Amino acid sequence: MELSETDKKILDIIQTDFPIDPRPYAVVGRMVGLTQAETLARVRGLKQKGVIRRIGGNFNSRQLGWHSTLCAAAVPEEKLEEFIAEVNQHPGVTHNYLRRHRNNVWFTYIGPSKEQVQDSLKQITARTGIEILNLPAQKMFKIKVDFPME
Amino acid sequence: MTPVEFSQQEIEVLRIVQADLPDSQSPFADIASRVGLSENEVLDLLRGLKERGIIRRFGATLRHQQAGYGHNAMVAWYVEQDQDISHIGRTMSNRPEITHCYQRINCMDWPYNLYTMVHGRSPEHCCRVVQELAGETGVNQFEMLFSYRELKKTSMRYF
Repeated sequence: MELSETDKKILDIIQTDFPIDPRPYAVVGRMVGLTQAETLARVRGLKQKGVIRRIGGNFNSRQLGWHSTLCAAAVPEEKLEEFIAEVNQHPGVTHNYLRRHRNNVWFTYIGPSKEQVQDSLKQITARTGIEILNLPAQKMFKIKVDFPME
Repeated sequence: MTPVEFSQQEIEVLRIVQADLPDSQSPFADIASRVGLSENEVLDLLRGLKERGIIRRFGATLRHQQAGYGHNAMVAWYVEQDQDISHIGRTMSNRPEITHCYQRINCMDWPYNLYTMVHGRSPEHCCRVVQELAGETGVNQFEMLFSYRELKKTSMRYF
């Protein structure tokens, strides 16, 4: 999709640093040369087009005392739908992708404790008969999910 | 790590903020009036959490496909015991195409211990970045895992 230069500038600002300010769209507007109303209208447009999924806080699960992990499983074609349905019903599963590999299902699991996460994974295995690789992080080097537009 | 304690009203603020801000010129005042706090209390809470890193990032989350970064691959790397995995992790993180880089515990017969997400404008772009990183770090055992179907993508609800 083609975005205007002004839209790109707005996205660059509000991805990394949405102003925590009484009038956030006035602050962004001053930076890009638009009024508050024009800026808000553009942001609404970007949401309607589906470019922006949401605006809000992204929390550090570890600092909140939660445990997160990456999981993988080699699921045969005939068991795929059942396995996906079982995995996806867990609110702690935030991302789940099919990937071109013998280990074809890759998902993330976030839970209030390490034990709770391990128990949930065991429960999925018990119900589906599919072994799950549990690959918790030992060290984070980088997480940067905002993309430069320009 | 000590768990963070929040008041009931703060939890209600965070419940809104973990989802989507109200669509208005003054979203923080709107949140404040919904939960019975002052606008300044809401602003102070969110600024404080951001400063402490409990809110990692405050802002818009994009759908990548729509923003022109449609192609990505997860790469699982096997870094040998005698290689400096921290140095390699930092080297990989320096590339702008790498959005995530984690050292992870291996499991069962899956030996890989370093994971990166690479984003590019085409699959070829992703492969080129991976080849360059392999050359630069000397890590030649890796699996590229291209996604072909999104099964779930949501934001975690902690509150």
